[in-house]
Amino acid sequence: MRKFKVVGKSVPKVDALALAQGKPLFTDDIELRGMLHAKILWSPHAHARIKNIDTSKAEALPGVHAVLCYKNVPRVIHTTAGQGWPEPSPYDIVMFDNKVRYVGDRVAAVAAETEEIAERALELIKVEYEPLPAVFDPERAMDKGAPVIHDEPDCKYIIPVFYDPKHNHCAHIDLEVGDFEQGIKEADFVVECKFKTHHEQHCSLEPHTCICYFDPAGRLIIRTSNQVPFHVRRIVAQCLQVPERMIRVIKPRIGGGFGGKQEVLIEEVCAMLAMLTKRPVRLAYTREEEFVSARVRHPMVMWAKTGVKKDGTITAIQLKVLSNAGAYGAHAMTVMNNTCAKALPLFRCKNIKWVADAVYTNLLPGGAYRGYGVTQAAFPMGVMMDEMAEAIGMDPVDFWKLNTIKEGETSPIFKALSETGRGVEMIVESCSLPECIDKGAEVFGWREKRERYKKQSKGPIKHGIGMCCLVQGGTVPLIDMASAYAKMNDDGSFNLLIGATDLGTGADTVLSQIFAETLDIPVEDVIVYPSDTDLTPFDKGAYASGTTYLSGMAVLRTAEKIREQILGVAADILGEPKEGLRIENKGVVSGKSGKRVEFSQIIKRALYGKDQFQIGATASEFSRLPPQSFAAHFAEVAVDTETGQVKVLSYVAAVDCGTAVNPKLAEGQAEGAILNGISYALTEEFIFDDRGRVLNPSFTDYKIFSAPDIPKITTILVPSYEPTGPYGAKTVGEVNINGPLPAISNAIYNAVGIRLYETPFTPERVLNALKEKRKSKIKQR
Amino acid sequence: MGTRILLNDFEYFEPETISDAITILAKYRKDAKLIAGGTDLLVDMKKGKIKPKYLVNLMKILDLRYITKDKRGLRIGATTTFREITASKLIKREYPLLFEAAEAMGTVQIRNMATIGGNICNAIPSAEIPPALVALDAVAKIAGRRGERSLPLEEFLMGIGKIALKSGELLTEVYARSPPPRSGTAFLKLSRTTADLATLNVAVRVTLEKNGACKEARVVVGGGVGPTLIRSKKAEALLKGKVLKEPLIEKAAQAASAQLKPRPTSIRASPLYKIEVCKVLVKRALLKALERTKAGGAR
Amino acid sequence: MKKEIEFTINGERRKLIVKPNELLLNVIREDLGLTGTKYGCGTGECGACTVLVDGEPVVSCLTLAVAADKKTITTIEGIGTSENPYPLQLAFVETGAVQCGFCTPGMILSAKALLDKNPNPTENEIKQAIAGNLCRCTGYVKIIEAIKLAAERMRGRKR
Ligand SMILES: Cc1cc2nc3c(=O)[nH]c(=O)nc-3n(C[C@H](O)[C@H](O)[C@H](O)COP(=O)(O)OP(=O)(O)OC[C@H]3O[C@@H](n4cnc5c(N)ncnc54)[C@H](O)[C@@H]3O)c2cc1C
Ligand code: FES
Ligand code: FES
Repeated sequence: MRKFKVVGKSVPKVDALALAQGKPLFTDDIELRGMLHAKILWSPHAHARIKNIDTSKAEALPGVHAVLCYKNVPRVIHTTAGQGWPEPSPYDIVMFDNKVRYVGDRVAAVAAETEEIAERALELIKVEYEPLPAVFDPERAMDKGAPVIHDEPDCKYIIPVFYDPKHNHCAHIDLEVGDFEQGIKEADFVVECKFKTHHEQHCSLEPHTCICYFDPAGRLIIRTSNQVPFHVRRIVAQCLQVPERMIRVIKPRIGGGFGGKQEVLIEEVCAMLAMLTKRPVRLAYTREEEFVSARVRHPMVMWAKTGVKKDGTITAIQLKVLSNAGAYGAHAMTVMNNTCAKALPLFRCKNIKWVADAVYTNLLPGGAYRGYGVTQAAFPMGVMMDEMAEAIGMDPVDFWKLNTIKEGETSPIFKALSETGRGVEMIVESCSLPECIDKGAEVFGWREKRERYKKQSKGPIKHGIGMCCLVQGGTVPLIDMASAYAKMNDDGSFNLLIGATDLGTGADTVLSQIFAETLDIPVEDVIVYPSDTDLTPFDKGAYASGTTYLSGMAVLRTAEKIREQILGVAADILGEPKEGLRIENKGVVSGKSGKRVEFSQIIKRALYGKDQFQIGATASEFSRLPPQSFAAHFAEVAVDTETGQVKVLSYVAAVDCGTAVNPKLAEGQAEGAILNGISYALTEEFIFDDRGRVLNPSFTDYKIFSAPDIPKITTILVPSYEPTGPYGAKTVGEVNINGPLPAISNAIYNAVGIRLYETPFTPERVLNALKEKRKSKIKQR
Repeated sequence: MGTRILLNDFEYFEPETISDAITILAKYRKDAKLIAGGTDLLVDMKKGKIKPKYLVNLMKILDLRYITKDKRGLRIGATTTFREITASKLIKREYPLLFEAAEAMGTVQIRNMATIGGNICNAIPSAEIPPALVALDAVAKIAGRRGERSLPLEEFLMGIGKIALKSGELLTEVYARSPPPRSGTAFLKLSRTTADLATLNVAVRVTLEKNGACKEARVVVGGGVGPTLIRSKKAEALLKGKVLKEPLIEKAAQAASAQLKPRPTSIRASPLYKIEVCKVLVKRALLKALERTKAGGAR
Repeated sequence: MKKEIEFTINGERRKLIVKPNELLLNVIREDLGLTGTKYGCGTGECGACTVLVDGEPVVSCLTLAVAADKKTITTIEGIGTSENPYPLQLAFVETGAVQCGFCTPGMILSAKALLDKNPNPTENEIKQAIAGNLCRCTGYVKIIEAIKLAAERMRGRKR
């Protein structure tokens, strides 16, 4: 493998010190003169028609500058999904509608001198609702007579895909490769189970925040905590019916996104208020609003059926998926597609059948969430693998190794389907999964623990271990695009302008490293400026684990172009042919004469000396294929059989993300994803009442882990080299969130012999399952 | 409702003596609310659950903040913070039950702010400190315009958000009986995460005769198991006078759990689960307390 | 009715006139322009708004500004300087404990309060000290590492 100078080093995150010092870097850390504060009125009904709204009292309240509702805002049907154009999500939402479709749907908005006045104004808005019957259960949503959630005539997809809103049917795709039924016939054992996964909130510590204002030239500036600034510009322009040139979107530092900010959730309202009032307007969610009216991970019901031969060959896989899109279809189809496209290529199996539906219900709309459908599918698949291994009496480690894709292999799924529909044929050119499995098992002590826990201690606490393997393809092939622009400064430093969006992930640092490596300069010489639609070139934004890989390639190409320019000037200075020159440590050296000229001399010559020009370049890259990142996860749990409490004691993740451009940041990505996955598996849960209201919209009642709750987490980076990625890098953002559900479920089974097919694994669910098991044992006798 | 701001306007008082506080309370009656650490009150005010017109801060009253002992017990002033309780060597040594309960409560920030009086007077059924205090036969001291009065804490706590304070009164002190010799105590909390409110919490005390039989027991269960905590006198009666063996302890635990009346709508767990797990927790707590009587000094 | 209060914040005495219902968090952010203190939940659960009052971490989202009268307050801006950052700040940077950085100021202040009292904490003590500070990005692993590293260095310096 190549030796690198900057790539592969854990250089400190470029923005870390300023953040640790509490510098004003986030959206809400500025205050503009005359800034108004916006607040939104939320629907108390899960499904209702708005017969009338009277905003007159609110408008009359001193300090109120504007009130928006369906009556005074143009009806522009669109999608809030921050995806490329044409969006693979239905156009089924307008800024304000005369119908509400879930508790927390938007009804009206106010801009006022202070937050206090805005809140009081909301109380003065009189809304006359006509409540409609609601449907919450996705398995009932397509029943005859179920209330139609999107009965408006203008909802549609703008791409040719299945859509039947009259039956709440938001998306459908099915496919079969090989012959599933034949595969089942060939099997010695067939396993069949139904699975359910639950809602999850992103819980970014920074709530959605947006500030809109007009610059002196009359252009609208949108300063927003968003993962997809370029999509924000496009969608806000669409909603406001103004040309895109009128809008500039700036993304400051973001306090976490995880997919929750891959959505145009508040920007268009804030912008509309700024437009009406001609004043700066700030709209910042509260934590409760994050829980009742942002987006969630799509809950799914899944039916899995697989066949396996005694020798360990998987002969057939069928996965049926029913995704609960909630009230709006943003990301519904693409998340659903990923339960196949990005999850199933992991398995070596010729006969795969996949049938998927997404339905509307009167609950919180689903959205993008780290893992994006793969998390959901990894659960049934990971448990089925464990069941099959058990059926044939094989150790899961050996069974997983036998049945997962290897370097040089392909999967028919690649071609059959991608996130958006059409797939691309590809061969996995880098895969260290077998080593991940071996190393992970070794560090974890798999075989030794497996032996040890065969004999359980007498007390109520039982121990167990479980594992799973994971894949997550990066980028949306043939659609995603990234670009960069860089220029050289007087002193030989560079401005690197990237459209890529660092949401805390360290993208700015990683991309600076790739740039620095290519030009053989220290990272300090790269002044990175990200995500400003006026200044930086286009990037699809931060999603689909694409930043290191795709934006990384764009940066690499930009640096390469600049290198050629530098060498050209150097050749002129040295009077030698370009071909014999190479870049070395902020200078150019001649291989032949040994002469050297510094970058600072080169740029001075370019700027002031002769044939003056700006050394600078722009380059872009689009995704040709989705690079596959892999991981093997191992969990050790203690189950209290009297209280049902599950404690994860240790967790090992061996991860193949290609070259880790910055190992520490890559580890951090893994650790954060794993812990998020663990607390999702054990404690995070939305509780709804029978009218569809969220009963626990706060950190008091929706529990995410804090430091004392964490197990010992070990991350092992097992390098591979992805030839299509920058310096061999793939992606690392998402894959690791997919492991905890199956790994923990399998570990619980190993400990106490119960299989949990429904998430989360709360003490109550565990205890009930234990009781069931005891009952069935008594019956058997 | 927003938690970014406090919408409700109020007038603010900072009395420096108990009698000044009482005067203000008496003047504004229902429109006035006391604030100590504010960790419960301000959350409720932000959510619009209460809208007091006058807020009376107790934290400037030096006479309300102390931890002292006398011959028969421990006196804790109402505005003593949880941090002060966990930092007290006296409490750690002689009232480990209180120490354990206080430590199980909240997070560092919350323990720095929250007061014992607030924990009691807010009267949410999942509060940490009341079960521990009841297991120590604690008495609430109350001051009002007509002077002082005392009430066993058990009677002071009347239901969700309900306490035995009349208008114009405030809680000034809790007085906990010092555990007799040969006592052992234990506090157990079951929660979803460390920083969660209790799904269930249990405080027990057993005091043995010289011959090893149980002289006296206290079994108290909290955590949304009824309108307020539940002291199981049935369980206590089962234990009294007997040598404590595991089957008997299990029976007592059953008896305690049979008394629970959890609300059907609970976020943290279903009523059935609470009833089920109460048996386990009470049993474990009693076994631990028993163990501690044997260990001698540790109570 | 507005009220005049006076406190020392980051070593500076400040007089302010505030309404009784103003929260310390908003006064610090808006009136004093110290935006390192963050709103994350407003209900005392996330710790993003943590400041030190008389050396102890509290949540400023549940503190009335009027109740901070006569106190000494430290925010993230008050520890270390731009040129000479506080050891915890450097340790957070070096260990990769800062991802999005939104939790970081509160986290560092909680850690500082711990180390001020307990220069050699166990891992468990560290975890308990930051139990009131949520982080969704890091999984806490590197944050704990950072606090250990800073503790080690600060002990070395004192010797
Ligand atoms: C993040 C967080 C975590 C928490 N975790 C826990 C936990 O684990 N366990 C737990 O039990 N609680 C927990 N709480 C709740 C709360 O912190 C405690 O109940 C705390 O003890 C309340 O005390 P305070 O001084 O803040 O009360 P305040 O909020 O000031 O007052 C609460 C109520 O008591 C009244 N009051 C206060 N003092 C007196 C007095 N002397 N006389 C009469 N009335 C009075 C007030 O008027 C008010 O109605 C938590 C709270 C938060 C925000
Ligand atoms: S904002 Fe204060 S604790 Fe979350
Ligand atoms: S670094 Fe993002 S919340 Fe902690």
